[in-house]
Amino acid sequence: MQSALSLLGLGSSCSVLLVLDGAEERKTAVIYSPTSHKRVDELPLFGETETVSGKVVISVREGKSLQHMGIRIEFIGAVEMLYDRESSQEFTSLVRELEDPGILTGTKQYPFAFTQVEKAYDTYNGVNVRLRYFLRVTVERPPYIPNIVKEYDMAVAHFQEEPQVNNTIRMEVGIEDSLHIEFEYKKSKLHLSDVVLGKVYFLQVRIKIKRMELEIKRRESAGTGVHAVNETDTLAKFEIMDGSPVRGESIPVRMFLSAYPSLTPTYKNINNKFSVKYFLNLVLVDEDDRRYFKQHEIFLWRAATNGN
Amino acid sequence: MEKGLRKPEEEHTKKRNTNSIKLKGETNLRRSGSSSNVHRRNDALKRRSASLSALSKIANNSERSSPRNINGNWNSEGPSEDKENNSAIEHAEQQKLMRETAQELRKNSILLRQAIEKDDFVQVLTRATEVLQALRIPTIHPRMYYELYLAVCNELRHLEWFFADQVKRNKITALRLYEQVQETPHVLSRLYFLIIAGAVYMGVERKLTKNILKDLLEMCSGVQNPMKGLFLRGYFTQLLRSKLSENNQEEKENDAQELGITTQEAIEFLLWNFGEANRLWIRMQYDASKERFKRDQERRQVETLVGLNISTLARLSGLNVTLYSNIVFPALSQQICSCHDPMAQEYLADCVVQAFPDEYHLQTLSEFLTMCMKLIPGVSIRQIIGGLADRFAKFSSMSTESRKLVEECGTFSAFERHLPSILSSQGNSLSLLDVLSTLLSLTQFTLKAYPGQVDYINVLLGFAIDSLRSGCSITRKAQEKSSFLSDDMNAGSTQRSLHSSVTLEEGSPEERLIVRLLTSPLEEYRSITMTLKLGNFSTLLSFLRLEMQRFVAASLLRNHAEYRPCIGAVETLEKLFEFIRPLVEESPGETEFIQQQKNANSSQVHPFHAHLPREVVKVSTTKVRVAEDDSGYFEQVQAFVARIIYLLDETDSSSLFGLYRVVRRYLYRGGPRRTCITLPPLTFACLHLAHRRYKESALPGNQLPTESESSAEHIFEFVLETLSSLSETDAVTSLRLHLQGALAVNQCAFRNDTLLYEFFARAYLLYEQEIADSRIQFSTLLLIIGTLRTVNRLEPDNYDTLSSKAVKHAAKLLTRADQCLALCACAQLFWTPWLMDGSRTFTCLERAFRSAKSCLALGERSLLFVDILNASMYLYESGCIEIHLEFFVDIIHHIQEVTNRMGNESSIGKAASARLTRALNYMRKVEPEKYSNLLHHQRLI
Amino acid sequence: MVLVLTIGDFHIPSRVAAVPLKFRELLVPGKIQRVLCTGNLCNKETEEFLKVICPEIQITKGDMDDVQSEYPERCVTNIGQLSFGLCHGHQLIPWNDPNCLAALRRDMGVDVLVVGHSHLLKMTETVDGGLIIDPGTATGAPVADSLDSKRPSFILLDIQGSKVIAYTYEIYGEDMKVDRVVFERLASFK
Repeated sequence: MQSALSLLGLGSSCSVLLVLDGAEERKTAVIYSPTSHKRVDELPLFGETETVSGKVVISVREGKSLQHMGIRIEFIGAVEMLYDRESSQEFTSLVRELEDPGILTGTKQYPFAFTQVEKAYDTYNGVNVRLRYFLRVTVERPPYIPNIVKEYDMAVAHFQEEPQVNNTIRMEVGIEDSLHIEFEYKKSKLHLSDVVLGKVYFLQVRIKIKRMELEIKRRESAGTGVHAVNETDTLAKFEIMDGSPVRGESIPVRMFLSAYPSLTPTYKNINNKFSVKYFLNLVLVDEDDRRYFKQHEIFLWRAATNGN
Repeated sequence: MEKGLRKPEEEHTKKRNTNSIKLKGETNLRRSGSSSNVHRRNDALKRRSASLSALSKIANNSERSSPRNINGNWNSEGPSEDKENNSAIEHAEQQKLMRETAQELRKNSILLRQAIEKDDFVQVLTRATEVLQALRIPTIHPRMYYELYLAVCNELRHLEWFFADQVKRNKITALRLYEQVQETPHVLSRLYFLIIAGAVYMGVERKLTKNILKDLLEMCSGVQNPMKGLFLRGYFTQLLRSKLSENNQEEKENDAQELGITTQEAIEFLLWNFGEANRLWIRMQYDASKERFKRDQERRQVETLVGLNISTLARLSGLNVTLYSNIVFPALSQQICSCHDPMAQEYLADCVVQAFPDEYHLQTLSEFLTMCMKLIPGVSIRQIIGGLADRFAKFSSMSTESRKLVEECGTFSAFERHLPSILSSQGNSLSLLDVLSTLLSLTQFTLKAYPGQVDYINVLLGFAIDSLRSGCSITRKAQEKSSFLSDDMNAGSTQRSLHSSVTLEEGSPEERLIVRLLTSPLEEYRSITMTLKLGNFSTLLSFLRLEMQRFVAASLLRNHAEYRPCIGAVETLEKLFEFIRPLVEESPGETEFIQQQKNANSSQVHPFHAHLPREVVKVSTTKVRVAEDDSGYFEQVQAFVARIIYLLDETDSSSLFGLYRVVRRYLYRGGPRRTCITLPPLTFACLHLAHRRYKESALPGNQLPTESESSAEHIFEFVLETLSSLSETDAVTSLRLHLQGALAVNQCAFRNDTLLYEFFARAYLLYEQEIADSRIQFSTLLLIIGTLRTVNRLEPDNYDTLSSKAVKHAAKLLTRADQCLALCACAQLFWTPWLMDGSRTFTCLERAFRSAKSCLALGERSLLFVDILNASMYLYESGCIEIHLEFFVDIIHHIQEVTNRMGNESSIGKAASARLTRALNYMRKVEPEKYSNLLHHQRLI
Repeated sequence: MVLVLTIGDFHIPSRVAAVPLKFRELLVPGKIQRVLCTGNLCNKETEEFLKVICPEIQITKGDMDDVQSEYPERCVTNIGQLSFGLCHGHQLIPWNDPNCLAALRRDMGVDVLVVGHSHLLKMTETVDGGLIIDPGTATGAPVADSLDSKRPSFILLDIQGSKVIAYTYEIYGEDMKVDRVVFERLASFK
């Protein structure tokens, strides 16, 4: 996965090119690295049941011919377990035969369409697990000659309805005789470009606090049973207070999630393979750099109006 | 590594129950019950909202509801890096850090400007974040932080411009800008951005100004580091201030409205920010890592950031008295009172005093003073109330209208009403110095604002007395005892010494303040009668040590303008003497001291011994001088006492004499050192009065019985009494005054010359008994002769006795020269309009001639001859023909002979012959007829 | 042109409290070049007052001055082309006698004699071409040998060569009267 959709995959003797219909107008989704949160790719974006159509262009080098055992295109949705290839699974797989076995010369185009194909899950690019949608073009070769296979990735995003119930998160925590706070987040369910609003109220402060931060943590759990792997990762660190407050101080919390594009919605047990959870972590750091934190799960969802 | 690091903090960790965090869990809460929890928080809320009561509308911080289910768990981790104790950074390290930060800042500033030039929004934001990074520096000294702040602000101006420009060119909406800057991860940088973006936003959407300001202020509480927070809030205030004044220039109507908010809203925002800034400022006090002194010092350096809010409030163009007294002052006062921090209370109260117009203060004075009453002990009341009083003083002297306003507002009575409780609320922490200094400021204000209200000043002096008394209550008991035993006079002095020894050290500021308290009214009134109405004056005066009492008393006399007569009643006069008693009365010990000196002189050496050095003789014969450095000052001050005589109202001569008696009674108490200065003026005044009485009695139809208490004769007798008491201390002056008395008596046609003779007789007595110095003998005798020659009412026998005595004394003078000159003068005594005894006249001249001839010094002899010649010529010209031709010729020949013997080298000889020439020329040219015989005398030419 | 202040017989504080305000307002430093004071200041303050007006000052001893004072009985000084004699006058018996004063002027051999003691402002040209000036009393101090009250006065002399322009200042009640008298060709006789 190194370049955009119109790039050709090179074979020894022929090139396979895939052109999606309406590629110019199509929205794209940026894919971020699960570890560095840097942008790694940009893929065409499809909705839940959107038809995936286009054409495959196969060019054989001039003066050459290619013998094949048939050409097909597949639409595949797969959960890839990166630590354990065996438990990877394709949950969707559709095939369209493009050409019967024969010999190819010159350039030939093959339109295709997967009409209203169901794409049940969002694309997800995690540390240990990856949920991919891709088109695979296979030019089957005679035995002993490796097939020519080209995969074309795409992204899928589901838009969700605004949750009916959206409780305020409110909590009072403390360490006896030294620190006691109460915090509150206005919403427990936030869309991806939402704003975390709330406040932290200090009921007792007997330690010297240096700063207070709000972190967004992502916990990715993949696999089941003994193979289960959990990965926790901090996506955002947002300082909300500098210095040490006194009793009675109320510190506002306002954090724009739009600043963190690598956020995804919360995923629960996707295809029985993996879950992604998000947490707001309130961290207090004292003068001696001891950290006191309290984390609380939030539910992220993708709102239709908000693009990606 | 983690474990190793955590070891030293075991104690700490123990408390927290190691890693998992004992938490304020359910059990705890259940036990204490949620109701108590709610209660406690409500308390906190109440306190908070109370401190910001005026702001409750916008503060909007009370939406919190009580949490029901708390199962919170705290998690904690050990330190991830080395323990970094910022507060322990030494000064050198701070400077190093500062240098590095400043360097980094310079670099980033350049990059920011470049980014702005390139018009690259994202880049600008990144660079600006880096610039703002400088302000996130760990705790350093406020002064250094301030430098950084200024440098950063300088760069932020560019940013401000850039943001405004971006919005203007529709490159970004103001809202988007406002949101985007909030993505900045560091809170301090984010808030600076937010304030700038907010300002831009306000400029575009005036309707939203209120909301934006509210949002900004709410967000600002994210910075809880006192110093950083103060600077941040200072930045907010400054920005608001510049926005307000920016608009003000264009439209003078109402700056706040121009900005999209009402004045009241502007006030509320400023008050809010002020409250928060103040809290941060006070919190600096609780930084236990620093010494108290250092904390205080650092706090002082950032105080203006808090005060800026107050001054901005004061500059609001829409502010008026009503808003001030209904909203601004109550809120400020509330904040000041509730902050319980001495430095803050002191500084802020002073800020309030200095920032707002006097008219506002006048309207809210009572409230202000009530606030002062609530200030915690230790706050410098003197600075606050003193500052206010100083302002009022200036204000009242501005115009009559302003003074009227001060009066209308009942300013003084407000002070009067509240001051005692303010002073008592401060209790022991209020030093005497503070009280006195406050009172002095109030005195100065009252003098300016209420020029005629002596009562008010008296009240203030009374406060001073109270504070002095309460300051030395133990002493008072002792003093009460002693006053029981001794009589009035002594009680006064005991009281004085006790007070002065206990409370006031010599030259202490307290002492100076009391002196100023007493002298300020004097300087302002310039009227003794006004001052005399100050009933508390002498009581307060008695707290000073004697020297300072005298100083104050002297300034009472000195400050009476132009010696306008003002005292007509004996009571007033006595009161005045009571006020200046320390000046008039001899202090105990003083007499003994002088007596010792006098005795020492008279016992060791006999004053009449001829070979004594002059200085020693002087002591016993003339004024008694005490070897003191301040004798000049002493004399100057006594001269003021002497001048009291000129303050007496002279409408009625007989009552005036009554006043003189009182004056003398008091002056007598001064002892010899004083009377020699103070009695002569009284004597003269009496002589003058005697003349007046005499003239009044001589008026037709106004015959006064001569036996009257205040007849001229009585007054002269009074003078004689006075002078005899003066004789003991200053014989020469007494003698001179006796002669003046004689001259004065001579003006009155009394039935006999008894009085006249008495004056002369006493003068002679003094001459004979007290004058030992030959020079003084000579000059005094000459004065007697001159006086005797002037009077014309002596009976012939008496005149004969007195003039013969003069001749006798003249002949007995020490030197031949003195004898000669005195005899020449005596000659005049026998050639008067009423007595033309040519032979006795001539005899005197002859005796003078004989004395001159016995003078061994040639030069002196020649001069004396000329003197005799001149005297003879005068008498001869006035008809004394007994002075015959041969006498003249003889004198002239003697002169010529002596001058010839002396030759041309002697200047005295030349002078003598010049004088002779002038005399001869006069004879030849002016009176040739009278002297024709002489001029034709062969031997002369 | 030299401005000479002749003044005397203050008697402060024994007979009056102070120099009249009008005079004090007039007599300010920097205007007068010489002061001839006949005496009877009676008080150090008065001397300071005069010295402030002009440090170039001659003072002779009056009958009521401190016996210890260093003032001479009489002195002679030259101003312009004229010689001035200064003497209080109480030493001359009989007191305030014009002939006596004329004799003193002649005897001292001065053109102008400045005297005091009478407390009466007076300027007399003598038969032999001299001038006798009595500036009176600067304070209006009364004298014992007269029932009349005295007027505060002094005389300012403008000396131009041998010419003397005398400005007399006298206070009558509330008003001040200034007169100007010119004396020419003095020093005709020496």
